[in-house]
Amino acid sequence: MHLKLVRSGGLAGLTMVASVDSADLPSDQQGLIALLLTLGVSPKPDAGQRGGPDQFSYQLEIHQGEHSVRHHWDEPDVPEMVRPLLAALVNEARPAH
Amino acid sequence: MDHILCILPPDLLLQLAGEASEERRPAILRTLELDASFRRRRIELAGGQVIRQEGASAKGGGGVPRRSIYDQVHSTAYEPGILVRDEGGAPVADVSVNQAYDGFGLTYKLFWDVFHRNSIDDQGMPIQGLVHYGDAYDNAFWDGAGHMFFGDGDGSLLTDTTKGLDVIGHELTHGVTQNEANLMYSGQPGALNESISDVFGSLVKQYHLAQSATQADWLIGADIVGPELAPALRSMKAPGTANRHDNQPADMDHYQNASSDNGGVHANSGIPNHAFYVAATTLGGRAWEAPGSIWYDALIDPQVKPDCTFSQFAAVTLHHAGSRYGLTSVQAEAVRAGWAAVKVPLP
Repeated sequence: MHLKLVRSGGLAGLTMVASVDSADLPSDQQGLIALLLTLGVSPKPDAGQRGGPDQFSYQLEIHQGEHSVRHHWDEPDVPEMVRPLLAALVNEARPAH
Repeated sequence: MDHILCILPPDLLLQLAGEASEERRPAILRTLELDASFRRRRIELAGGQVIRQEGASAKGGGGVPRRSIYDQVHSTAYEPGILVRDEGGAPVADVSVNQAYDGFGLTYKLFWDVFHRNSIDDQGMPIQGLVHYGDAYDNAFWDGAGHMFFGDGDGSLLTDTTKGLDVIGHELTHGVTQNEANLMYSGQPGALNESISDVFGSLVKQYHLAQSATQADWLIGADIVGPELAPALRSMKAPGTANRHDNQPADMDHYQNASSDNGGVHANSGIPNHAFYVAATTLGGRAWEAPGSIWYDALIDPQVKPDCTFSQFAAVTLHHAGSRYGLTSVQAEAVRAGWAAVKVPLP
């Protein structure tokens, strides 16, 4: 599976992008990645339900063959279960421009 | 059945979610908090709801902040962790704690000394700082509920965020804006929200250093950036030049209709930022005096609504420049010059 993370917002307003194969991520994240692929698109936040000023937003795409899903989370509403995965992806991320 | 799910450990819930039927999976996901419609916290940013802290004194008193600094011990919990320094407490061994404490005090001091504002809500609201949030967390933020969170930085993008006096002023000013204009955090209102935080964050630093407008460097975040974002996060003097990734526009011809960052609020803040810089340096002297007072008057003016545009805010600043100093004053002309420099139309 291939993952692409886009993190935007934050005090610096810098968009960070990571493009990673799941095999290169920690083994303890593989089950979660498979589950996120199964879940499909997360419900989009309603207008106004955005994170507070200078907080991060995360968009995670997971691709496997012809199947792709996208998840979106705004701080503070990032599920605790996905934080380690996001941290691992952010560690691989680079500025978008 | 959901009450049974709540007592199962997360690992088992994860396994069950993957194996569950389409009918059963939503219930498991709700328990796992993977359903994004389940919110642990709702912060109403556009609805005008302001969370007042317990113990806030009535308006009329003031002059002394009420600071508390908590150590989150690298947790990502939103609740305050270990109280490590309270108002009036002596400095502690942890430098980050002391820097947050001092930065809160200096921010309070600008707003009290110059604008006679008693803390974030003008009612003596306690100011709480939560340091060492997360692990090498490259950010700092205001949570809209009375707390500023500080990350230690990742060493590449950011370093210890408690070092940035202008950053502390920036974040606390988000609280002030929340209590006043309550600008929506998207599009032009959001960029204005960001700019107001940069303006007053910069003024906190300038006031502390007793710098004139011509002496100030007009950089934001110079004290907290790592090598990837050096020398600073943003430049009010020259938007787009603060670091090699800086994409801020300097005028409306280059306004960005971005799809990320809530419509590019951190990028487009460069436009009103530069307007303030031009107004302040055109006048000379101390930027927190005439320009700062004009901008503060505008921020607390009920005419500035949550959906306020750049042009609408510009009109209010000109109105207050005229009210304070006269329509043909050098101060009003400096405000005109600021907005003209960034091509924001005035009436």
